[in-house]
Amino acid sequence: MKKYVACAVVFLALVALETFSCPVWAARTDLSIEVNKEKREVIVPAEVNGKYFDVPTRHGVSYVGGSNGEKSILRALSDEKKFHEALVEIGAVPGNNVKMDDMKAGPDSGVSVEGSKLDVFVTWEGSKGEIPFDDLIKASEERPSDYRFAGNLEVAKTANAGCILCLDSCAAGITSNASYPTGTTQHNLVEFVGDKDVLPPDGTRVFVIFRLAQ
Amino acid sequence: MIAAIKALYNAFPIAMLAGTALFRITWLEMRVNLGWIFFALWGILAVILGTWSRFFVKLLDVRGTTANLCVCGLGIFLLSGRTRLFSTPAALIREGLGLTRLPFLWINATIAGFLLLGWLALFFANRKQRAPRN
Repeated sequence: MKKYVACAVVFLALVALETFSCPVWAARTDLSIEVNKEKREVIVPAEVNGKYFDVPTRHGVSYVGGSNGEKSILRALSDEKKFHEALVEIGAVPGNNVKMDDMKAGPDSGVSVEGSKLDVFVTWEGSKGEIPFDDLIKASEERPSDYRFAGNLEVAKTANAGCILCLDSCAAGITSNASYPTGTTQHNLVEFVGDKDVLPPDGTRVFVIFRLAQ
Repeated sequence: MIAAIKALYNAFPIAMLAGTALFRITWLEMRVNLGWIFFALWGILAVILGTWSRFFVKLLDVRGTTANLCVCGLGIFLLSGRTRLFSTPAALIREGLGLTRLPFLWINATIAGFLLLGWLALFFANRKQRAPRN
């Protein structure tokens, strides 16, 4: 009997090793960001993270190579520092007004990010055109979105968190939703989850479009 | 060999229950790779159960293992709820391995296979041990 069990264990270990060591299961981290100066838009490739269909998060889009790469609804496959560069290229101006101390704000004393206003959309194979990013997110308290180029390049360089789009105002995200000031998620005032009725299935490749608002 | 497998098998649901409980703490979930915590807990618990198996004889026999599976399974269900039952444990494993593109379905099928085959192996090993020798 021991022989059979040992054989089964070795077999399962080999199968597991073969499956888990296959690079196809690791997300790519080196895809390029598309910059269209004429349309004044930046397109970031990303993947859907099904974990946040049910679990709340404050991260909308994070670079998979950063420490928050697996903590967001969409895991970006391009670096957040390059994303910052791309937004500057299309003429967006960073706000850089939220400091790390503002992240300790109380429930009523939060600060909202400033910077160029952006319209954010997502597309994927089979999507009905460009879907507004807002439609993909369920918030416990809905507010009209106000995505801004927050900047925060220095924090991004030191923290390497990978934050590309934060769902509330943040001192680390390159872009944030100014409708929700700092402290919103810290104090559990609002919870955000991915809307599985709108988003494609877990793992689907999507493209996040950041367009400079007119 | 059998003792090590029993320890590894029984440590899995306990570590998963602990991982699921930690997963519910949003503050922690946002800051820490809970998949690493799960795998570390699994390893530590397996070493504890395997090294001091004589103190856990009742837990490691077939009845104890079945009870462990049921209690931890119920705990995971109560903690994660029906909607998250098939995503939380799989997400923990996926994040721990750093293989974020592994589909939840595959991971859940692997967990189910591991639990079923492991239980059958322990059941038959136990029966063989108890069988009278001629």
